[in-house]
Amino acid sequence: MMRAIKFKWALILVALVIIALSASVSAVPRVQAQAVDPTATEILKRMTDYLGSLKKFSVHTQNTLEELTDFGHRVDFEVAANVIISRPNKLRAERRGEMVDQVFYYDGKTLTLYNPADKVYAMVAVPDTLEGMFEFMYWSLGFSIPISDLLYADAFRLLMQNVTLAEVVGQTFIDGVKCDHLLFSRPGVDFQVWVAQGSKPLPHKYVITDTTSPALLSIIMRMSDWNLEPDLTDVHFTFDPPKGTHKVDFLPFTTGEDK
Amino acid sequence: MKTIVKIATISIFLALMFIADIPLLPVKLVPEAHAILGVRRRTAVVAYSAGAASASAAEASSQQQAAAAQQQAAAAQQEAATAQQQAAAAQQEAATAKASSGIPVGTVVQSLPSGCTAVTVSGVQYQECSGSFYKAAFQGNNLVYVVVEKPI
Repeated sequence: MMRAIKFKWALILVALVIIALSASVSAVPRVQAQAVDPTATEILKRMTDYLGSLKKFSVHTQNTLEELTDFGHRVDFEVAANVIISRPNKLRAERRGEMVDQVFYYDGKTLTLYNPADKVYAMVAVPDTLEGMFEFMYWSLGFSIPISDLLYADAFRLLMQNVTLAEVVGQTFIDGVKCDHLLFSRPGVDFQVWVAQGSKPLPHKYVITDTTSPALLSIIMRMSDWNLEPDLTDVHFTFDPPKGTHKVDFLPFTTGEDK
Repeated sequence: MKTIVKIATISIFLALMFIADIPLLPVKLVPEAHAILGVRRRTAVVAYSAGAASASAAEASSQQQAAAAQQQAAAAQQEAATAQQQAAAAQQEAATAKASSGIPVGTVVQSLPSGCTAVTVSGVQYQECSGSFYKAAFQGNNLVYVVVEKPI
């Protein structure tokens, strides 16, 4: 009788060991699939740290927004933007393109959207940091500017969230600047960054691809004319409405479809 | 017996550690990357507005064709001209009545219909289009027009 019980326990023990071993074996390929190359993440961190350390700068961005029409045709919309930033809390961005003709003013207290062609503007009180303003813009007003991803003080942590793949694709030249080409992947989104080699690791291109649909649409942002010593004496971060312009409101923003 | 229970307990514990892949921090610590998340939302918005624009363009061209056809008919059949004019006037009246009462207040459109005039009431600008009043507003960073009650 005693021997039978012992045998039973031994069987259970063997079964448990087998289960434990199979669990650990099945975990191995999953770890290997998360190929996060530390060289790629180091370059990304160097770039975001450098961008975060700049007290002021201006940059020209040329953005391509890939879209699908209701009839399935690919249409690309171009938006050219001049962005001037003075940390901790000033930003001006002029955006011109087919879909938008707009100037953002942020002076640390108020965000103004001004559409010169329509002669209308809207003002709203916002938080007193760039990060706070971006958050407010996204959650309370319902839009964002692509470059904001790279401008957060903790941009590295933010970009690396849920990243399952990070690799250095290669080296190439963008506007004559030698850049490291990085590829990252996270659920639903792939993104690529081209970071200048050398002592000024600035981003020169940033591509975000929606991998949730077979169309694989992207936002492509090319950055040029980096100026780390912009003259801010004539730059107005506070909007002074020209004569004949009208103030309008923001519609209440509801998070509908993708929440 | 006791030893075997101990071993069993420990191995159960070990097995659980291997099997259960507990996500330790499901709490969101940092904000999401906005442009990355914004891709889907923006695509949806643009698809809608592009569709609306092409629909309104199609409508406009069909209206133009109808008008041209009517003109030809009027030129060819002078006898019936008076009757047709009356009919056209009646149609126009019907169309105006439909426009002023047909568009519900709160409707948001991406662009104004043609033939609007700016009206300023107590410092606020409205657009009057065939009897309906529109007020400009920002939806996100898109300029849109909202149908409102006639301002007094």
